Amino acid sequence: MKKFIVITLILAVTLFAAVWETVTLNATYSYIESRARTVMTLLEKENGSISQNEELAEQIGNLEKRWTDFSCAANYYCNHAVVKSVTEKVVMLSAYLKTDSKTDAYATACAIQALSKEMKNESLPLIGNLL
Amino acid sequence: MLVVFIKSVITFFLVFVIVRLMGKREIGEMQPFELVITLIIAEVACIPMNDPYIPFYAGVVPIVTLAFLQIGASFISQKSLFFRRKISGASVLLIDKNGINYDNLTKLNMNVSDLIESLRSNGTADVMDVVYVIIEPNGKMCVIKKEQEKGKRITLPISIIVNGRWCEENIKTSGVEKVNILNVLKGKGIKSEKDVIYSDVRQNGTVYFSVGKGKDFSTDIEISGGDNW
Repeated sequence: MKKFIVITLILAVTLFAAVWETVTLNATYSYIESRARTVMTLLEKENGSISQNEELAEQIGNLEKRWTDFSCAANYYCNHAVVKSVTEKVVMLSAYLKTDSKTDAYATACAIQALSKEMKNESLPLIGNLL
Repeated sequence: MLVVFIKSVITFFLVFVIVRLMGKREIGEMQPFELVITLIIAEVACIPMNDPYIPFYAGVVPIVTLAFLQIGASFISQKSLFFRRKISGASVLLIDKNGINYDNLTKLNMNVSDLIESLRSNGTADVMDVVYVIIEPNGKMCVIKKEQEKGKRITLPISIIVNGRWCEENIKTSGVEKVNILNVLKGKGIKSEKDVIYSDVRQNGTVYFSVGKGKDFSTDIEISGGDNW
């Protein structure tokens, strides 16, 4: 009985962490996905120099800050290769903005949006992920 | 490499705690499902320990979950005879009073050669020397030989009360009357079968009782199914 109680408590803590992980991952990837979509819309509208667009700089800055804050925690429960892949794309998006490469920035924003959507779905206990 | 080193140390302590919680049984004494869970835990523990890209937490969740299921199954097995039979299986008689029980042999995916081979491995060359051969749920073979009990009728006890619960199937086989058992218990100041940890009956009607609080005892009663097993 004592052992059963101990293992139940350990499992409860583990499950609490698992639920917390799902909620946090979902919220962060949803945020990144929506920011990437906004960046894509702003890039489509922009006809001049993208490095001069303040709204675009603000959106990408927000996206980069959110991911930088989260990436350390993400390493606790995500495959590190995936975390590195998202970091790489976020850094690239920021660099393309500074170097005024509109098409590259658009392609990278597309990749970030698709990847974060994929990661968001992967964190949920859906049948496709379970089987 | 320092990461792998630290992960290995943490894995060691985690597996150590989990194995201690799961019990001290040796591999040969484990039930089949316990062995499978132990092997899976060993495999799961290795993955995050060796791969720096996989977080440690990805190993903790399956280890804790499997340990919970194993301990939970053991806990329920203690409470329910039905569940115990489903999880661990029951002992199977391969040789009984009628000789080799071919039906049971087939159920265990064994043939007569396997049985003879196992008997020889147990130090029994002649089948005629054997009275009973039982395969226990953990896979071990128990051989009861004729010469062990010279001048005395060889009996095979079957359980009738386990953890305060009647073993209905065995009671039916042995032809024991529950009323007789309860009368014996009342005579010893025991209120009901719930206070008995274990009780079994032999073909000659001898019943053994092990009670929770107090000394174990045995008595003879009349049974109608002494020739049934």
